[in-house]
Amino acid sequence: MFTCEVDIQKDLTSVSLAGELSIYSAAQLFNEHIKTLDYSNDFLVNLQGVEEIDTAGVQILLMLFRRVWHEGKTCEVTGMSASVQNYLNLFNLNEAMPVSGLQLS
Amino acid sequence: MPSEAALEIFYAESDELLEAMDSALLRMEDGEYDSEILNEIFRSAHTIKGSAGIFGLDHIVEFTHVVENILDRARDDEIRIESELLNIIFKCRDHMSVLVHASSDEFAEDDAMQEAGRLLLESLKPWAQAAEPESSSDDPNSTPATQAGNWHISLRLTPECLRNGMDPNSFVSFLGSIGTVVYIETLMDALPEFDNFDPEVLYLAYEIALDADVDRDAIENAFAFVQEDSQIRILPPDSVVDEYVALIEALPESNERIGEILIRCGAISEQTLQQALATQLGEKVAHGKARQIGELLEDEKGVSNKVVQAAVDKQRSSEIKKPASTAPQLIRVDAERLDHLINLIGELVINRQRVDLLAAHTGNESLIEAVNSLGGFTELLRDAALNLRMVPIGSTFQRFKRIVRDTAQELGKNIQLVIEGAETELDRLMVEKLTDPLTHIVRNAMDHGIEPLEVRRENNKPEAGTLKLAAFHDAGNIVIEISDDGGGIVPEKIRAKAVEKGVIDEDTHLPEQDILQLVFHPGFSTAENVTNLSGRGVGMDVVKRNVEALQGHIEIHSVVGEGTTFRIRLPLTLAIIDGFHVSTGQTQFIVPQAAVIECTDLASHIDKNGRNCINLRGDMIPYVALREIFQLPDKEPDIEEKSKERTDNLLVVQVGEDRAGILVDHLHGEVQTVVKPMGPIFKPLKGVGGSSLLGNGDIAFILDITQLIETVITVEAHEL
Repeated sequence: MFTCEVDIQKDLTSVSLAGELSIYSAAQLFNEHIKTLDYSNDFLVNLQGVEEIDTAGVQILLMLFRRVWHEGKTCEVTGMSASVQNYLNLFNLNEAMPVSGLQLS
Repeated sequence: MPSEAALEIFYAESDELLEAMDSALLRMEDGEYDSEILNEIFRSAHTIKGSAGIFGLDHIVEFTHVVENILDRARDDEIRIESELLNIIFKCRDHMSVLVHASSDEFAEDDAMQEAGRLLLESLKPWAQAAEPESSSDDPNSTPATQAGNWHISLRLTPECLRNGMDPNSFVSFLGSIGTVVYIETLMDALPEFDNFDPEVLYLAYEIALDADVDRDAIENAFAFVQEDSQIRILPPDSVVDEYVALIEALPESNERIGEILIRCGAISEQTLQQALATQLGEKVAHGKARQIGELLEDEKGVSNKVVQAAVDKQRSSEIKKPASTAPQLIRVDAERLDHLINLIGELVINRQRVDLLAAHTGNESLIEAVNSLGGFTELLRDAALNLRMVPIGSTFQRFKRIVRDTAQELGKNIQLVIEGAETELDRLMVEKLTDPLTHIVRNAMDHGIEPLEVRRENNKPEAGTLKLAAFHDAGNIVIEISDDGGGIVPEKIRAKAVEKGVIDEDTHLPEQDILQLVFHPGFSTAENVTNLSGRGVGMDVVKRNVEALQGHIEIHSVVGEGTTFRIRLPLTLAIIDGFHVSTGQTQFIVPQAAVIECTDLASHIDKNGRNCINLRGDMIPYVALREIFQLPDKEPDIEEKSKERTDNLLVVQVGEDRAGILVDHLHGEVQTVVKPMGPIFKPLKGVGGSSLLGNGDIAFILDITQLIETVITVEAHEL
């Protein structure tokens, strides 16, 4: 189970993901949420509430980042969880998901 | 985080490996000792350890690792597995089974389990190697089999692996547990356009530098369960530059890209890479084609295979395939799906009867013929489906080899197990339910049946007691016999105990067979010492109940001083039977066809002396009328049609050596029907073993011939 909250301001879209981002819900997460977003803004991604993440979940995040960058916008992580950090450390992917200077709680 | 599904596969495959290991150990005990069997046992432990590692089941890895070392030494001829060590290995195998079925959490909380493991590993010490080869770089004298340094591992898993429950996370974590991941690069080259992205497909690839002091096997092992199309390339430390060049060539990404990654991994230096690529390129230009990869690898050390997935293939084929070269191809099927299929076929069979009937009514020739043909196929379909449920009883019997061995040791008796008819097949569901009753009877026979050594010697019996498990088909049943050549059951002792327990009165007189049957009475036991194994009086009655729950019967035959035989008779399947439809009055019955030997009429054979038996070509056979047994109402005299027909039809049936005649009003022909068991409320109803739905919607009672014959013979005995 996961939750995906999206908050759209004039220039900034904030996406908050929480729960389990895994193969079991990957299709749903991507097709019903990530894919439907409007990518004309800068993005902030809050992963603080992510309790579990696996490779399928990480792939979706990577795709999200790429998509935003494709439009020439910025995309940064504003909140990190232990499980996501562990994964990124294990696979040396910290550079793939830059963390913002801002820390929104 | 591997999926539930993957974990299930791990359990199932580990169980199989453990059974194979058990079987091999038993063969070794019987005298088989060669490199093949040692390899077999080693590989079982090795594979379980490796897969347990992937799933993070450290408690299994730790224990099995030590056992594996011992087996490895035996494989290398450094030690020999004699009976003392063999005994310990048996126990280790059992403990491995316990560990496999315990989760990491359960293990952490179970002190007894941990202690048991510790003790076993302690007992292995005399045979264990002094230096453990799996420690990392702080051991300067690593054994030659391992290589210390930076291994390079290139992971290209199949896109489907996420769907199949394998996450690269598991592999990388595992690698981290046997060494240090010095560098890892996640390649995202294959990530598609946003709109083409399939969230359940793996697009990532990995290049890993692993600092570890291990042998190649330890790394390959991690990928034993991975898909066949995955490409995993492993380069040991100190691989020659040419090998890296070969890797660069083999990988799909551009040479420069891979080269850069290898530099970052620390595998080779930039300079070396440039030189090698230039040479390669130079050769291409010079000779018009590049040197084959194979040639490049001619003069290396440490790389025994080509730089391809051969390592993985070899791993899979040698470890997961069973040793028998003629093993049939097996697939795993969910038992529920199988049962569902068989249920549907059962319904099909019932429907077909109905169609048969209706077609007959129409009198339409072509229709009747077509329906007949349909019937033929339905029968074949039914048989094929039932065959799916049938398994040879051999695998159940096999398990007893271990039980007999261990129990004999415990009792200090020498007992040989003989198995006959292992190929006899019976319904899968029954096999599972038989294990407990059989175990109890076997233990009982070993504990009380077979006499202690001195007693046997005194009676000039062979020192080794014999326990025989036999199975065979008879009259549509499967018969399972457990016999021993022990002291037999002494009827007087049984009788005395029964009186003592108030089961029967002092002055009740029973024929011998009935006295023996008292053994199945609840709360009954004649064992002087209630041992761990049997004799608590809760065993035999449960055995009988279990057997009867399977629509079966159990009897005892015994000769004092010579031995005892328990005979269990079960229907071949609980699902569908071929039967003979008969009726008496308005009540329909079905007689299992396999039990019917003959169909005749009463008038021609009736005994002149008025006894209830018939003279069948010289043999006197008792008979009884269904009308009497089930107290069915008398025929009504004014149903004209029926009264003109002959109503003294006699079916001669046989079970084992007993024959009897069953008198019915009318015969209706052959049917195949789905057996619906009677509910527990009908248990006292002797003679009926189930019910069935006929084509016309009527309910027919399926006769339990064995019970019926018993009734007939008892009635006869009382009348004589």
